[in-house]
Amino acid sequence: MTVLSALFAEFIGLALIVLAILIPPALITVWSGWGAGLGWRGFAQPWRDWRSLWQQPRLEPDFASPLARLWPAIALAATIMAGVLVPSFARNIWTGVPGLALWIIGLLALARMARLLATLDAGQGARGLAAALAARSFWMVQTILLIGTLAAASAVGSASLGVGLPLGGAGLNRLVLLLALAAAIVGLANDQTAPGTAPEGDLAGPDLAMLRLEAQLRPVIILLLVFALFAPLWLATANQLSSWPLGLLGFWLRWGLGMIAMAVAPRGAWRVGLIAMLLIGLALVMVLPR
Amino acid sequence: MIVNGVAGWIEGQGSMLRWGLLAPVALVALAVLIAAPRSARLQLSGITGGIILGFWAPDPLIAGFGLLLAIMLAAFCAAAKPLALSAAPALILAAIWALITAQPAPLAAISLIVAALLAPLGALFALRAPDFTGLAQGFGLGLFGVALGGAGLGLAPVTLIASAGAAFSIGGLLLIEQRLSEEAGHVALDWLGGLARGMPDLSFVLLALMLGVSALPPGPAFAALVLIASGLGPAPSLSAGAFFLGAALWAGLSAVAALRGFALVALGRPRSLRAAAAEDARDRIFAAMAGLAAAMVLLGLIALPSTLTLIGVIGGLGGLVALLLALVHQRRRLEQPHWTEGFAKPPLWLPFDDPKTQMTATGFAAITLGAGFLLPAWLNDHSKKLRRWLATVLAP
Repeated sequence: MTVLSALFAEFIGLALIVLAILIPPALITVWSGWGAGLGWRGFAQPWRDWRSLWQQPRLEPDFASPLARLWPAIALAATIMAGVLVPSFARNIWTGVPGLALWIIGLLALARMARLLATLDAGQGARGLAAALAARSFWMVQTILLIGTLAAASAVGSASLGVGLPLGGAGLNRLVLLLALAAAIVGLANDQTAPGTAPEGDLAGPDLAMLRLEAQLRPVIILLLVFALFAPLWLATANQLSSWPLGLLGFWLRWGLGMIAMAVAPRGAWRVGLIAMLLIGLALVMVLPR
Repeated sequence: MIVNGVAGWIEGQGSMLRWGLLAPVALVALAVLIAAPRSARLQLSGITGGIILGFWAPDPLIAGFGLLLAIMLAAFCAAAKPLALSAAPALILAAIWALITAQPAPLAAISLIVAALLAPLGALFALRAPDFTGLAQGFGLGLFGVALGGAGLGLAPVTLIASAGAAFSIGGLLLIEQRLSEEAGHVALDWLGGLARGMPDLSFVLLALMLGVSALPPGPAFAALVLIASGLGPAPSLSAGAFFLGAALWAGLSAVAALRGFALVALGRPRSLRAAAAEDARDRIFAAMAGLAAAMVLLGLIALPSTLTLIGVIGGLGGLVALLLALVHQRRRLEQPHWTEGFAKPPLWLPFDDPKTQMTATGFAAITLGAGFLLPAWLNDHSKKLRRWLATVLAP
C-alpha cells in the first residue's frame, strides 16, 4: 500500500505539473480567439502545436558539432527528473532524501547548461550573445536558490525538501525563510529566460520541441521547489488518502500564488540592488544567535 | 559513501588525511610521467620524490629539503607545470589541516573567511581566463577555497574531494593545453573553437573535466556542495555563514565558467585555421589526460553521500536521454540550405564566417563586467578613484 500510494501520488504530481504548463497557453489561445471573433478554438491547441513540431523531420545546422543532438535530450531529461523529484502534490518517497533540494537545483542547472550548449553549438553571433546573457541570468537565479537553500537548511536543520516547518518555527527562522522566499520570487521574476524568450539555438523539429517543453516545465518546477524549500504549505502526505484533496487544492494555491507574486514582483533597474539587499539580510539573519 | 568511509577512517588516524590528499597528486604525477618526453622523466621523478618527501618526511627540515628540490627541478622543466600546480593545493591543505588540528580556536574561523573569499574569486578568474593555464588556475583556486572551507568546518570529505578535484582539473587542463599548443597552435580560448569535429576525443576529455569542476551533478564539485549543505547546523557561526555565501557564489560562477571553458573551445566554429585543421591523436598524452578525466568522473560518482539517490537519479537521467535520442533518431533528416541569420554568404577566404561576428571567450566573459551594482553616486565616484589609483600603483 505504501509503495503503491507513493507511486500514485507521484503520478498525480506529474499530471498536475503537465496541467499547469498546459493551462496558461490554452487560456491565452481561447481568450485571444474569442477576442478576435474566431469563436471557440479548444483547449488542446498548444498540445497540437507541440505535437506537430515534434513530428517534423530533423534539421541540423551547418556547423553543428557531433554532440549537437545530445543537448536538447539532456535538457528535457534533466528537467523531467527534477519534476519527478520535486514534491509537487504530496510528501512522497523522495521527501526524506538528504540534500534533495541540491539535487533538484543541480538537475535544473544541468538542463539550463544543456540549453546554453545547444544555443552555442552552431557558433552564431546573435545566439552566442543571447546565451551569454542567459548565462548571467542563470547565475543570478542559481546563486539566489543556493543561498536560500543553505539559509533554509540552517533554519530548519536539513537540506531535505518539504520537511521544514511551515513558514519557520521561531521568529528568526521564519524571517530567514520569508527573506529567502522573497529573494527567490524577485530573482525568478527577473530571470531573462522565460519560456517565450529563452534562447533556443539553431534547432528545428523534435529538438526544438524538446527545448520548448523544457522551457515550459522549468518555471513550474522552480516555483514548486521554492515553495517546498521555504514555505512547505498545503502538501498532502502520500500515505494518507484523506490529505489528498488538500494536496490537490494546495498545488493550485501554491502555483497561483507564485504566479501572482512573480507577476507583481519588482522589475527594472533596481532589481539587482533589491536582490542584493535581500540576500545580505538573509545572510545576516542566518548567523544571528537564536 | 566510500569517501565517507575513508574519511571516517582518516578521522580516526590523523596522519591518514595525508594519504587522501596525496593519492590524487600521485595519480597526476603518474599521468604527467606517462605524457612527458623521455628526456624529462628523470626530472619528473625527482620532483615526484620531492613532493612525497614534502608530504611524508617526519622532520620539517627534510620535508623542506624535498619541497625545495621539487621547486628547483620544476623551475627548469616545462613538462612539470601540471604536476607542480596540482600538488601545490594538496601540500598547502595538508599543512593547514595540521595547523587547525593543533590550534583550532582562531585558525578555523580565519580559514573559513579566507575560503569564503578564495572560492568565488577562483571561479571568477576561471570565468575570465584567457587561456587554459588561467582556467586551470581559476578552477584550482576555487576548489582550493572549498577544500579550505572544509578544513575550517572540520569536514574531511569536503577537503579530500575538493582537493582531488583541483588536482585532476589542473593536471587535465594543462595536459590539454600541451596537446593544443602542438596540434592547434594556440592555447588562447579566443583562437580555438569548433574542436569537437576534429578532436572529438579531446572534447570528451574536456567535457568530463568541466562537468567535474562545475558543481553540476554528478561531479565531485557537486558532491562537495551537497556535503557542505549536509554539514550545516542550525545558526552557524559568522565565519561559517560567510563560507556558505562564498560556496553558493562559487557554485553558480563555476557552472558558467565551465560552460564557457567547454562551449567556446569545443563547440561553435573554428576561429583560426590551425584550430580548424587540428586532429586527435591516440598517444601517451591522450592516455594521460583521458585517465585524469576518467578519475574525475569516477570521483564524482563515488563521492556522493547517498548512493541510492545517485543510482536512481543518474539511471533515470541516462534512461530518459537514451529514450529521447532513440525517438528523435527515427525522424527523417532534412537537407536544407544553411540559414545565415539573414547575412550574405561568407566569402571563400572565410569558410567559417567572420570570427569577429561570432561569440568568443572574451566576449562571453564580458558578462562579468559592470555587474550592475547600483552604488550611491558619491560611493561610486570614490570607488572609481580607488580602482584607478590601484591600477596605477599595481601596474607591472
